[in-house]
Amino acid sequence: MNEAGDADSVPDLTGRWKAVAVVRRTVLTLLVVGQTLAGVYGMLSVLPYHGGDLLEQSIVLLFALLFAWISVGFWTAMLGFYMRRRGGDPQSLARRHDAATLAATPLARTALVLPIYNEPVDRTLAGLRATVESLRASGQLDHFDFYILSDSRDADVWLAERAGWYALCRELGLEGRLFYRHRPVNLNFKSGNVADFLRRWGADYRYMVVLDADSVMGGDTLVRMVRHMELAPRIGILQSSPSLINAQSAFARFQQFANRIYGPLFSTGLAALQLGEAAYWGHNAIIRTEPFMAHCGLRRLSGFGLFKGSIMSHDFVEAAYMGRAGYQVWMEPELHESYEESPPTLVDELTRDRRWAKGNMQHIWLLFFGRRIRFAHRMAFINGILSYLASPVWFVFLVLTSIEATRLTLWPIDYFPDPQNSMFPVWPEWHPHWAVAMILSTFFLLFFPKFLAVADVLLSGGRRRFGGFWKLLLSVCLELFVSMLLAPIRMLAHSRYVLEALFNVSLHWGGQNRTDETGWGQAVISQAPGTLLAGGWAALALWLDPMFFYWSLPVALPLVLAAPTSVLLSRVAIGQWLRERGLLMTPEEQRLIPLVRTVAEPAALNPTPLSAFEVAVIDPRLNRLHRTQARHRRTVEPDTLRQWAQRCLEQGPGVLNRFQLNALARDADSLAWLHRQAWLSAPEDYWGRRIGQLGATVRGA
Amino acid sequence: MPYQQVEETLARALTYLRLSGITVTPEVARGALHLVDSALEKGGEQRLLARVMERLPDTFPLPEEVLPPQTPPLHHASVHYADSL
Repeated sequence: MNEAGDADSVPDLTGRWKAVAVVRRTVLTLLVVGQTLAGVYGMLSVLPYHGGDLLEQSIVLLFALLFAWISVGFWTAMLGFYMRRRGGDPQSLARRHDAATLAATPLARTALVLPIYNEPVDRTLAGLRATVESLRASGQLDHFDFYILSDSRDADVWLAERAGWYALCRELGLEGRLFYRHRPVNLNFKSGNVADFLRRWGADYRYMVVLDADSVMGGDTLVRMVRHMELAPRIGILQSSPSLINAQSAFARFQQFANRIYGPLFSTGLAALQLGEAAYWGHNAIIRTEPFMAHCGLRRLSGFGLFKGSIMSHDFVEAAYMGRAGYQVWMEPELHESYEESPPTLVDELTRDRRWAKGNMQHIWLLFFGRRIRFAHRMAFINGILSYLASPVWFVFLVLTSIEATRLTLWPIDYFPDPQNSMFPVWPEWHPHWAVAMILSTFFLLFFPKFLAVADVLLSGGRRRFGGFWKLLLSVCLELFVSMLLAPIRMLAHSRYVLEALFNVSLHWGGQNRTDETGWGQAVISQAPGTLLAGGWAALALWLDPMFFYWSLPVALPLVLAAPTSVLLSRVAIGQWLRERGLLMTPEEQRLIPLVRTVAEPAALNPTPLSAFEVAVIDPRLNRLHRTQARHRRTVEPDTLRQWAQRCLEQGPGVLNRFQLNALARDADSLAWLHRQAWLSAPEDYWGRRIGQLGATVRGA
Repeated sequence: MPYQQVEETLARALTYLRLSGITVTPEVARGALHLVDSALEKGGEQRLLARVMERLPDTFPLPEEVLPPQTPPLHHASVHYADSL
């Protein structure tokens, strides 16, 4: 490949996928548009004035958008089912080369990069350990190097990371192959972290595999990905489709089950539509470094408000830029042994969604002002935007239908909704059977793909991997029930996040937590606005018309029950209770492969009751490690550092703020001084007590 | 009190040795006792802990492990930015 990573210099050996993609996407468009037009016709028939005024026209417009959105999901699943039943997509990468060709393909130097930011160190490094061990088992470990790229801001976290890296180097014999880089300034978030790696060491590697903090990947899968890249030089990014593992809470187990049973259908359908113009999801993917460095640098947005500054959701944009440079981006669902984890609670998921909603809304700017971006990648932007924008659209749809119901009940009938164009009265008509048909067809679009996914499992002979036929069926019913409970809660939260993003404001109404389980107090406070809103709406509906009340219940009731739903689903005990009864089982839970077992019970890297900072001060070996790696440039005056160190010595690190602790932990002289003084402390002093605790732990070990 | 101080000093020295990667064998334990004994002879209980900890590295050569490189040598390259979004 040439110096600029120019795609034109690379032979295109990938066949006729572009023509196939055009045909498939055209058929999908025709199906979705046709189905939406039929839905709109049905909706117009249901509405009393048949779209005769602005209110009803607005309802129809929003309905069309929502119906088209769920139709895309429906037909994607249909295509996925078809492809899976015929034994896979003939256009996919997996079908392109036989096993012998792949096995005969030499590997190239590849870096596995693990960007992290204040993550749980034990779990993160357990995932990396599992991946390394799996690569070792594949016999191809020598072709890979590993980089932990930390943006962590707390000294207690990054000191623990560095100590963990050191322990892992020794344990795995990876000295000089496993590296740790801690950025002092986390410019441009995760994409800036990866760019920092590329500027320093990217030129040493033909490929990099980007992992997330909770990623685990199998060695054979990684080797296969490198070989696919070697065989197809026009591929810039190859994305795997990660499965969820290691779920403990009820919430996480529901997500894990849904991902494992419905995921293959949707990802196969999506991959069949996208082919060489797929999206990059930011992790569990392999990237050709040279073109990535040549074409995927992310400029700051130059607009206003949300559309000004760093790009937050970088992955879709990087895929679009790779496509713009003439490289292909593939997503391959048949790359197995690619894993990640679900957020443990609804609160955690919504915290993540708040970030993602903002990032996806930012893509509106790129959708309109991004130049020479391929149509398929603009569609990927729209897909991401609608993932969140659909929520406020649904919300407004509900508001407008409520106004319509109120109008019909309380206001006098308007026989001339459009007096300028009609001399004859319009009689409002109500067709309950049409309304029922509309609701049933919507439910069909939403739920039929799920049962099709079950049929796919049964036809594949995989029912035992999900606990057997009856438990699988019961699990699907439970999952349907829980997903119906969660949908309105997510809708309301996402609506808020979209508003926050578009107006570039923060509308906090309750604290978020990152603990394993959600407390009752916190859940009640955070869900109170939705509960009150839904309660008021349901009461209004009951007062207006009992029929309207029943119609409102599928949305109102989950919102009224949001707090207990959030609390109960966060409970690990309920998740385990379901597991003990064989419900929500996944193949990885049925047969715990070594890759998954390693992360299921991560070994504690710091088994002492001391913080990482305290261990860094006391432990002679780790103190030496941190001193050796400390920066030589000082950002704080030595006298000031000594004052902080003196306070730390007398009262412990708890009296210092984050900046002060970071400054001490980065300064070799301060670490050496604290180490000497701590060991001279009287047994009853702060550090004397800590040494006693550490000594007891060491003797116990 | 003196006995307690001696006991604590000995425990502190042994903890330091353990954390430094030295296995506490009977021989090492006797060496540590001797170190505390000679520190007591030189100045009684005053600054006993300081004298023991200062002489610890001379008495027991602490293993200096070769630390792995935290990062490889730099190989600078550029990340390019397109002219437009």
